[in-house]
Amino acid sequence: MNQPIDQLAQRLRELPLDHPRPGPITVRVLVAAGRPAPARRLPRLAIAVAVLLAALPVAWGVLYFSPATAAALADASGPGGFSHEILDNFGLGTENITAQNSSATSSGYKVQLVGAYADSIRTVVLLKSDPPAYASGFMQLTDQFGTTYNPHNGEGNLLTGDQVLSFEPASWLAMNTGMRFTLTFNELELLDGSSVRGSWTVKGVVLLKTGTLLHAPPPGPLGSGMIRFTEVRYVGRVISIQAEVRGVSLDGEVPPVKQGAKPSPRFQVELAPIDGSLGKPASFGWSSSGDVTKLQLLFVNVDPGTYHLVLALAGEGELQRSLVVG
Amino acid sequence: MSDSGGSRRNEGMSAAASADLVGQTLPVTAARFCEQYAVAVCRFAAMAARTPSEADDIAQEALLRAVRGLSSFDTRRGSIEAWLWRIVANVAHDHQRAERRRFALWTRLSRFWDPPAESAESLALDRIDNSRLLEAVREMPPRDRTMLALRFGADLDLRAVGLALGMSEATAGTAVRRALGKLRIALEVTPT
Repeated sequence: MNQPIDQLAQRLRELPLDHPRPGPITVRVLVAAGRPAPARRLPRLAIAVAVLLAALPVAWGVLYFSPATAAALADASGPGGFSHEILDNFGLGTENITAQNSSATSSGYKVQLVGAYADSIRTVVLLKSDPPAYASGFMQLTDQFGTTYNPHNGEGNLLTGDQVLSFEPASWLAMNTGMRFTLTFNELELLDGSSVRGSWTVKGVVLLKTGTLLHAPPPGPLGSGMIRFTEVRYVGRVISIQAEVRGVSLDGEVPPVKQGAKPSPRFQVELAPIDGSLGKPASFGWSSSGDVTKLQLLFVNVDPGTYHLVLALAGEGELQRSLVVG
Repeated sequence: MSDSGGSRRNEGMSAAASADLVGQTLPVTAARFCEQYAVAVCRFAAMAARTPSEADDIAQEALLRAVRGLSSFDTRRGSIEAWLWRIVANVAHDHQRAERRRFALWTRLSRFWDPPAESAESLALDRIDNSRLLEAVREMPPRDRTMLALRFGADLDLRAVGLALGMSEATAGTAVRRALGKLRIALEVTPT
């Protein structure tokens, strides 16, 4: 009766386990052991005194679920040394960013959360990795209420390790209390195209900017369909426009004009200043359900003024609307 | 249950050898300590972790924590092996706790059940390749994985397994036997 069990035990003993390899692990351990150990936690006595002094149960609850108080006390200056170019592509400057100080190390890669920004359009985190890499793989951003936020987009510099990731905006609850967030991901991409698996978790606190609601343009025809603008919001030099499209699909590409060129998307959007200067292309995305397509447009680095919003669907038609920003 | 017939790489280390490792200054002690235990810790991590990268993390973190604690290790409180494997088991436990949260949903979504194609007795273990065996171990619950990894990965005897996990030798023996039984069942129902 025990024979299969004994066989199994023997097989497990003899199982070749060639990863992890002791040699590289030993080297990493000896190198790390040569560095100073992370600061130890406070002595128990100090913790006990702090607990007695702080009326902790109530204070902790307020600070945890309403980090507005904690964040207001934190350093609000921008993170030093972070790529201004990447920040600019997200319509952000260091003055908008709340500095953070949380880091995680896995598989020999240290990822530091250096800053965060949140408004009613998006939640943005700034990471710096050492050695330089780009966070990817399974990625999750959650807040103190357990809400999970999907990633929108991201941009990074694989030479410096600077990276900006943008997620969905905070829930109404976190919008009012401030957001205590946790970012987890399990993969880093490297410059040579390879990737490193691991587990990184960083935590931060950020207050939310609500911005202003602008007058939504009137609905109109878009080719054989109709578009209705449901919300236009302006915050931190970024405009977010939400709309519903019915009766026409935005999918598809236009074949390239020149041989060897790339095809272009069939649906294009531009926000052009009324003075005729160069327009701004949109970052946009949509999801369709039945005949209805929910569309979100995002324009960054938009100054107050009057603009033409131009939506073009190749082969179908174009719609132009005025938009007053500010 | 008679899984005691295998080799015992780690139980034979003498008290003198253990004491020899303690009390020296870094990096000599750390290097010798790693040389002595890294293979077993890595074998443990390979079985106790769900993924190769997590195995890396567990092995590195456990050894580093032990190396950093060497200077404060007190021989009067037990053998250095027992002390090391308690650290290793704790590090694995910490990782597995985080992993349980991450993988709970994934497991719920991806787990499927196929009826066994053959009985336990007809199962030919030698037909199961090593990668499938390791995969089956890694699919087991964290506690069972730790048991099997300490017993067969690190090749500890049952007393040492018990010491690492804070249980008696008899309890450790029962837990290892139960984990082996679960593994056998898992191998029966895993589609080939």
